[in-house]
Amino acid sequence: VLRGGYTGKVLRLDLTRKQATTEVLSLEMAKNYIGGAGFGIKYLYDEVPPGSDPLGPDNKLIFAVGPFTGSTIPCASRMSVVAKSPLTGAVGMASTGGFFPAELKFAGYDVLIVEGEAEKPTYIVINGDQVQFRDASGIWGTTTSDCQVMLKDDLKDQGYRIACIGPAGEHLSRMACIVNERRAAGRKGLGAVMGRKNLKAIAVRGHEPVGVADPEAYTAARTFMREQMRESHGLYPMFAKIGSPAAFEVCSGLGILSAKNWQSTGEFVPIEQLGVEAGKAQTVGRNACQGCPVGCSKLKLARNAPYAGILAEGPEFETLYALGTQCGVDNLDAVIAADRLCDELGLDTMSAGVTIGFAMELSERGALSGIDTDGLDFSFGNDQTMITMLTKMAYRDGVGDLFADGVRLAAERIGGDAHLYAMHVKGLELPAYDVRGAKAHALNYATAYTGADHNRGYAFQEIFGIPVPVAVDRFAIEGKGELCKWNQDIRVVTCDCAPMCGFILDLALAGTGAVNTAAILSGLTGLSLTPEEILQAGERVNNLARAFNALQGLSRADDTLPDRLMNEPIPSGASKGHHVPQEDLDVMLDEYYRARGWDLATGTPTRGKLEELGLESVAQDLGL
Amino acid sequence: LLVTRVKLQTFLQLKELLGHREIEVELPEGATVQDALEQMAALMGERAVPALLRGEDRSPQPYLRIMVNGRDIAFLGGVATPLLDADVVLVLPPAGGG
Repeated sequence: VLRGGYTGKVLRLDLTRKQATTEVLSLEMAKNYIGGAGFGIKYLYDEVPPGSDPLGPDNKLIFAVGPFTGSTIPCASRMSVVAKSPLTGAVGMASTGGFFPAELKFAGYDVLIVEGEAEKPTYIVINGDQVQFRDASGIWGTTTSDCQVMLKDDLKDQGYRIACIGPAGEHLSRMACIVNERRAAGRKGLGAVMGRKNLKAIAVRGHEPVGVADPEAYTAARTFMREQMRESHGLYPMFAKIGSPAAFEVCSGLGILSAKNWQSTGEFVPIEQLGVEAGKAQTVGRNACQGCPVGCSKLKLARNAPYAGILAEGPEFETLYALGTQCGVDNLDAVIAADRLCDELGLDTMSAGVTIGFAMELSERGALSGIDTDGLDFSFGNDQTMITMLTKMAYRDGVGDLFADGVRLAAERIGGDAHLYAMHVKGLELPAYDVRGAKAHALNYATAYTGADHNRGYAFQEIFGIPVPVAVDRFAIEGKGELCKWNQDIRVVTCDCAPMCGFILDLALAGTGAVNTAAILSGLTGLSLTPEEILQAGERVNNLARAFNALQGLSRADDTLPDRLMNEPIPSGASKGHHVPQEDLDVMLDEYYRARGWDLATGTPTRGKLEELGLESVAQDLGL
Repeated sequence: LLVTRVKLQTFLQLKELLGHREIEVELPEGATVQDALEQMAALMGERAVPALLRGEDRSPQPYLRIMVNGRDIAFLGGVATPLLDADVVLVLPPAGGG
């Protein structure tokens, strides 16, 4: 019996039949998959058949919180949104914060499973055990902030929390995200899955506090976590004041801040224009997710024409790259405006920015000469083209339609050697870190189950020099297979399942992540797992995700990097001369598969490994 | 007298104490990373020194990460790593985010 943390309830929402049913969350499920991404991936694996069209009726959209969500554990209002990704064809898992995750728990649910397709635009209202399917024709077409304001007014309760799509999701852009408040389950095109289901929004309201199994043990565990946070040398006051843009400074110092579609890393480093000092001057306020004492999110106001007066929550570090350096843009006001526009349109800032930078390089190479570009000048640094393209991609207008589905599909449509300049792994556009200068992070981009995703196995050893579990030379390839496995397993279980904000793992709990999660889980839920079993739960989730991908046809050949990363060294700066040639990648992949217990030739989990993790039926599914 | 000119780089908390993101300094020939750190401490002023060095042996604070030309000194010769003309010494304060 689940005694605390969990609500023990799963809400299944069938859009075709307009029917809501409640199911019981089993103790086995909680023990084996913990919550969040673990639950989402388990339901995805069990319920979405291999080969399903991500934008077809068989795909499901799963929203899952974890036991810590909504409790008094700090920084735990996180939710995983999971579906088969229309951008990658692999597991699509995106994490969001804000207030919606905690509210979903207060409403009484650990998981929502959205299935089928509504005939007409629909939104769903969940108020505790009251569930309604409502006509969304009045809000279809709205931007995400308008949608949230209008729904709260309609519902006559400002306490509702809303997750919705914008025009990008409605127009099925494979870069569309799902927005709640000003946060987003941003990547892998999950907004298009929601759009395809004709689901504009989910509004949720709840009043049930989260139960605690053993108050004394819980309080002790919570105190430990708070002390770790207080003792962190980076969290207060630095990170609380600056937020994720701190990484902009770090990456520029390490020479791994990618620029101009990865041609100019170390050369184009607009630190004065986009760095921490510039950001401080535009900061007018801050925001925190539910239950977070840090408040890293900054409200920034553009001050200069033509963008003066535009306010954004952000830009976060990744956006400073994608809608900044990647496009050769060094005007912070333009990045603020582009960030806000993406939030309104429901477009992933990262994939969108990388795609526009890709178009800019194609233009530079003359590869857009036969294409009608609607009169836009695609030179690097043209911020007005960048901003115009965001709207065009979201509405599939003109040249925007060509690029609305990310770089992989755009390269296929354009043909020739365009694919050489398409910066993605498995279809997911690359994050900011130029991993030619951080090899474990490169291996993570190559192997993460969602494609090139920094958050799936963040190598904080290489980026921030945190010597846990070991200090590493960021340029070396030896030992990176083991390290990448550890990074992926610890992160998925502590951050994506329990859950907890990823920044807290890096800044306060790098050495105590599994211990901390085990202690809180035990006090909160009564589930008694050792730190080793916590890590193993992470391994189980990563193996199940890998098996799902294997059943879609993905294998070792897909664990790769863009041509440029393998063949062109970084041109300048502190990582000058480094790259990841195929033979180095192969050495790291072999070591990684060995550490994982996966087949070296195919990269598929072996029967032995799956049995060890209690996944015998998965071995059968894989024909092992 | 022969001198070695190196660039000292830092950011975030330490940049505020140093007053610069990057500054070029002259060190005697044969200088090491420790000498560069001492120079940096002198520039930061006495009150700020504990942010950089600790105790009587004046070793760098363990939560700092120091690099020469992009490579962590843990994989070079530690604070005894010799410096050459035009080397870049980066002192990275504890950071996160991204």
